[in-house]
This record gives sequence, C-alpha cells and structure tokens, in this order.
Amino acid sequence: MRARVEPFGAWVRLDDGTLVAIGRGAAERLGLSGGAAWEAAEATRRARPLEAHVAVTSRCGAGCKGCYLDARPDGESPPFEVITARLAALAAAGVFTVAFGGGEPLTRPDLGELGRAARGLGLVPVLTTSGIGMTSERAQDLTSFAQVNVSYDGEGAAYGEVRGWEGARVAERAMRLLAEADVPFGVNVVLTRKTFDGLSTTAERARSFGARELQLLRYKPAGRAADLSYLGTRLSPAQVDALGPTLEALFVATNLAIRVDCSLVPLLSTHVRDVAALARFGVLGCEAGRYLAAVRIDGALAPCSFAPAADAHAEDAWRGGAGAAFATDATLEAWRAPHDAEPCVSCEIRAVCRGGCRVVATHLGGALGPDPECPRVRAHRAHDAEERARAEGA
Amino acid sequence: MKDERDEATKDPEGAVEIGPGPIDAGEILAVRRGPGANCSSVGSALDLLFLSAVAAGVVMAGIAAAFGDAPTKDERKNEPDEERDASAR
Repeated sequence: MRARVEPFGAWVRLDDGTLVAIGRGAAERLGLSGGAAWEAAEATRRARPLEAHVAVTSRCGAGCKGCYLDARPDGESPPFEVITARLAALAAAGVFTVAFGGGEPLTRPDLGELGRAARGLGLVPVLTTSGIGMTSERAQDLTSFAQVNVSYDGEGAAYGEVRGWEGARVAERAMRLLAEADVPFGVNVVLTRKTFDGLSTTAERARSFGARELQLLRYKPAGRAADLSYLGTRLSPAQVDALGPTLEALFVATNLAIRVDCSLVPLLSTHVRDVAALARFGVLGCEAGRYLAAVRIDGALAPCSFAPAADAHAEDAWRGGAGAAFATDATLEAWRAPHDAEPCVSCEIRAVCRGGCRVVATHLGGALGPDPECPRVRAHRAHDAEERARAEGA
Repeated sequence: MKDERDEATKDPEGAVEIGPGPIDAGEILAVRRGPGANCSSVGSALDLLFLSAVAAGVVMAGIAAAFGDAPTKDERKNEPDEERDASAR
C-alpha cells in the first residue's frame, strides 16, 4: 500500500489502485505522522494531484475531428529520459496514478518501458489509446499498465460519425489483442448527440470483447472541437436531462463498471439523491489544478488536459513548500478557485461538483464561471431571464 | 521502508509505502475505486452509488479488510473523536 498524508488524515492506495481516504486516527495506526500537514491551517494548503495526465507524445495519425490536443502525424515525442524525469517529479509530489495520453501513445516504441519506469517510481500507470499501432507484441508489452482504455464511440459507422474516420474496427482489434495479452482494459465513450442513444449497444459490444469498464466522457470544446461545431455535437438539453436515468438503466443492464468523468458530474446534479454518498464514494467533479494536473508535451503543467498551460513546469512545480509553483501559479489558482456565483454557491453538491466544467464555461461564456450546461444553471438563468422580462414589461 | 516513513514525517506531502494495519469500515471517509484509465479527465466509478446501502456496506467492509485486521477498542480509544470528511479537503 502507498499513502499520502492529508489535512483530514491520509489517502491510501490499495494494491488494486483503489484510493481510500482515512481519518487521522487510522492514519496514525498505519504508522503515518501528519507533521506540518496536521498543524498548518488548511486555508494555506493546496490539494496535490492524486492523478496526473501525462502527454507522452503529440503524434497521432487518426485525425479525429474533435481532438482536444490537435494532435498530428508530425507531432513531437520527447525522449524517454525527459518523460521519466517528469514522472519522477510527479511521484515525489505524492501523485498516485499517471495516465498516459497524447497524441497516440502507441506511436512510442518505448511505451511499455515507460510504464515499467512509472511502476518503478511507485506510480500506477494507465493508458488511453485509439488502438492504432496495436499488435500482439505491443499488447503483451503493456502488462505494466494497470488498465488500458480504448477509445470506442460506437460500433460501425457510429464511430466514424463522431470521430471523422472509421476507427471502430481498429478499436475492436485492439480490444481483442489486449484481451489475448491479459491486459485489463476498458473503453472510453465520448457522449455526443449521436453516441448517446446507442450507449447500451456500445457497452454490450465492448463487453463482448472483454472490456471491464465503460468510461463516459463529456464532449468538450477544446483543440479542434473548440468551434461552432461544438454546439451541434454536444448532448442536447433533453439528453442531459435523461443522463441520470440512462446511467442507472445501464448499470442494471450491463456487467461493466461505469465511470463518469469530472465534467459529467454537474449534468447529474438534478438526479443526485444522496449528496453525502457522492463524496463518500469518491466522485470528483472539477478537480483541475487540485487533485488533478496535466503535463503537456513541453513539460508545462496545466490544470487539466483541456486547460491552458500554466507557467509552472512539472519538474520543479512542487519544490519550495508553500511557495512552490504548483501552489502559487496564477493559472492554476484561477482554475482551482471555487465559483462565487449562484446557483453554484447555494448548490448542495457544490463541494463535489466544484462548479462544473471550466473548459465549457470558458468556451461558451468567455470566462471561468458556473457551467452553463448544468441543468441547475440552465434553470437559474432561465428564471433570471423571466424575472428581467417581467420587470421590463411592468 | 522505515527511512521512507521518516522522510515522510519531515515532508509529509509525498507518498510513502506502508504496511498493513487495522482499519474499521467506519473510519473510511471516502473511496475511489480502481485507477480508471482515461488520460484527459478524472473518472469516478458510479457503481457504489447505485448499490443498496447494505450492498455498499459490504463493499466498504471488504475495503477495510484489505488494510488488515479490524482495530480493537483499545487501539481506537485515544484517537481524535473528530474525523473530517475528505470532501472538506
């Protein structure tokens, strides 16, 4: 087990990758001493990443029309030693999990070696791939990864409608090879207006190949998706309203574990029946610059993979105690700051949701603020508009 | 491992290897299951939310058991009463 002291006690990572938050008494019984972390005022401390997303390449030949990184065939792949130096800094900062992405990580011949290096540093490496470049030999070289997720937005033409290229067969072949190599894998499904209705079919198809998890992702306006096409690709308001019941039905119908990404949490806000359970079962909303950080291809930190780069760089971001760049960087500070606006301020799931997706808010509203696609925000703004219209008509 | 723990005491912000120890299910503030494998946003498992309270309790007991044997009353009697929720981080 691996542990990190926190103001409340400690986070402990079990051998299967599960993270468990425990109180101080339990932490002390495990031999942990809080030291300064238990003495310092919590307001002066900054949450450190539990998870970091590391771009190991910006090279990719898929050309997905909504690629958040704008990855290209002639992208960059930093040397092995550069990536491992970044991993070492993340490990020293107490990060538990590193998720390799890019770009297509399989374009790196040393990917398996990078995974083993991460393990050697005490990190749990995981990986996202389109499947392009997967062979039997490559799959067998990925056994150091705790899990590999294959991007799979649907079978047949459904995939092509979302990504702009026919990649379903590539993804399915990758799943078969991973299953043969006994590498645990799941699928990433981007929820769009077109993929939403086929979700149960996609899940069943992925399960038939041996996937163990369904990771649902909100479509985000970043990279090549940050244009007008976003408005026609994102979930419709009716689909957002149906998301909670759809996931519950899927949970009953499939043996796959279901995972939602941080940006989907606000879209579930009107369906939350037990607010305390959200926190107790570790659901995280926007943790950009807090429990989550991203390392870009040039080594710059970012609050998350979709956010602009900070001035801080991974290799020295945590040096200097309270004055370390991770704690003081203006971009990271702005993205981690809670919204001081309604309806977030009075929302009962605010502590978990943290105001929704800042990438969406920035794209649609031009500034960090409440997520405009959250049903509660939509209702609040509609109510305000009605009030204004009534006042103007009076 | 001892040296690593000593180092953690000096700078408790890093992560250190620890051995097994007794934890009661009631001492668990939050659980994030599995590592997930997405590289662009944080994923959270919903399974426990959809389970009945009884089934979720069984899962939590299993997680506590993964730490080692449950603590005795004596082991817990001198510990702080106030355990803060991890969401208040």
